[in-house]
Amino acid sequence: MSGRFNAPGAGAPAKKPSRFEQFRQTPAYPVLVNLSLFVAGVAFIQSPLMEMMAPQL
Amino acid sequence: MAYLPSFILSDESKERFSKVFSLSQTVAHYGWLPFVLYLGWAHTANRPNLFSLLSPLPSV
Amino acid sequence: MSSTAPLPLGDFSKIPTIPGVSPMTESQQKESFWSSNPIFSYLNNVYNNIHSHRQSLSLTNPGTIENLNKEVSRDVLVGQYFFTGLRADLNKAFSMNPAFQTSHTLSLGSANLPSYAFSALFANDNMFIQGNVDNELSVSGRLNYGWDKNNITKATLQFSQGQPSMCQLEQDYQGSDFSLNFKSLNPSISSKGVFSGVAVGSILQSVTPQFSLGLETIFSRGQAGMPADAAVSYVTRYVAPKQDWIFSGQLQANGALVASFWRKVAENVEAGLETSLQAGMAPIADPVIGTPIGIQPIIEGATTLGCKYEYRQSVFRGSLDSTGKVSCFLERKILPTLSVLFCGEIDHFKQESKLGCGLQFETAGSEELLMLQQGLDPNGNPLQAPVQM
Repeated sequence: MSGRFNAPGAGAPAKKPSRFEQFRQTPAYPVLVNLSLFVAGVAFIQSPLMEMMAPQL
Repeated sequence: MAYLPSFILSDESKERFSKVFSLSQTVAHYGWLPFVLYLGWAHTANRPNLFSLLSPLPSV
Repeated sequence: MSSTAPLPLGDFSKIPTIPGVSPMTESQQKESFWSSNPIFSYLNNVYNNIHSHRQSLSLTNPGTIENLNKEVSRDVLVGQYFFTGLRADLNKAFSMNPAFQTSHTLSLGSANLPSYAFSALFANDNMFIQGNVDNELSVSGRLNYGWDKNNITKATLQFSQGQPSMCQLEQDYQGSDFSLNFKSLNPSISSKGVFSGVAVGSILQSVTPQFSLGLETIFSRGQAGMPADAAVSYVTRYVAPKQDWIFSGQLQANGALVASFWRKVAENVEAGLETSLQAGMAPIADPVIGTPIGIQPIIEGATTLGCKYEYRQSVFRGSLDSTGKVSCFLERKILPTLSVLFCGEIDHFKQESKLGCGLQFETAGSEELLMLQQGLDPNGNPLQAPVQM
């Protein structure tokens, strides 16, 4: 098999996207990111860290 | 069996109906704000005059 | 004829009964036929049982679906308050009770605010009416009328030049442990009896004193000839026993999922969090030709974290979201009759920023209010507590 039957541009096989890159393309990625952001946000708001941000008047 | 509406309108009355509808729309368009102002004016003790009602400057 | 007393034929109470078996109980005898016959008395019993059980749950009204995540999206987050460019509000109050106020808004360099708008507001104990007109003569109006403490009818109108007008009618019913709402947008019934427009019915029911569940159904038909659309949304809300935090969630019919969380951190500090996920369809383009070859599901999401600080003279709101936007809104009262607004937003991913500045003047339309604004009572003596206008 020689390279003459290859489609132009496909000569150098594109670097196979990593497992993470593949996962980023699926709809599950934004769901997971935002849900974890929500959980992290709730944890932050409920934590004493938030209370420390309140001014002591 | 054909479905019969409970009321059958002739073309003429349909036209009259849509005329009344568009007229009431125009009345509401131009009359709404004057109506609000009138309600407020009628319920305010010192009955401000039209100029002080519409001007943004303090009237006293 | 004879002196004997007539036989007590009609007096059934004299008929001796077997002890323990009585044709009617004491309470049934007091009731009419309709409530004492066996079927209805059974139904009444069931109803009374359910009612007393409901009373024993000590449920409270859950609020309306419209206000489901009000604490976060309307109070804490900047979004509702944001504007760009310069603006000046000249508010003139004529009376406090009933409230009557007019307002002139001038704005410069804003994408969505009209350059001039005039609005008037009147409110008394059971009515609220408001009108707004801008320099392009588009009018919007709102009327709320409370029939009693449970029933409110609302109407919203919008007329603008060259665009179809809009009218929304709404009926709110707030029960002891549930809220009902019926809404209709541009309703019309054609001569064939076909409904067109949008109709929305919703119910929010308290399940426990803290937790409530709700349902919203939408029926819409654009034109009488078109097929109609129907959809159902689900909502839920949990209020902590101490009322210091609230969670609410919505699964909307258009494929959106919104979750929000609110907490009162201190007396004057509130924090809020809102996550929304929107599912949709996007066309897939052919990588070579570029024509669409199909559709794929896509999901877009955003999470916003916000906080609100309330001081005696000023209010600060700040928020940070997952699309790279940082925004703030600051409102400061420099004089009792003058406040300054500032808002800014930086989009870190798109390298964009927006800025807005504003002034708010409060003027008085009557002698009494003028004194009140300066902290004096009608006779010119200083008031004990500063009045919040």
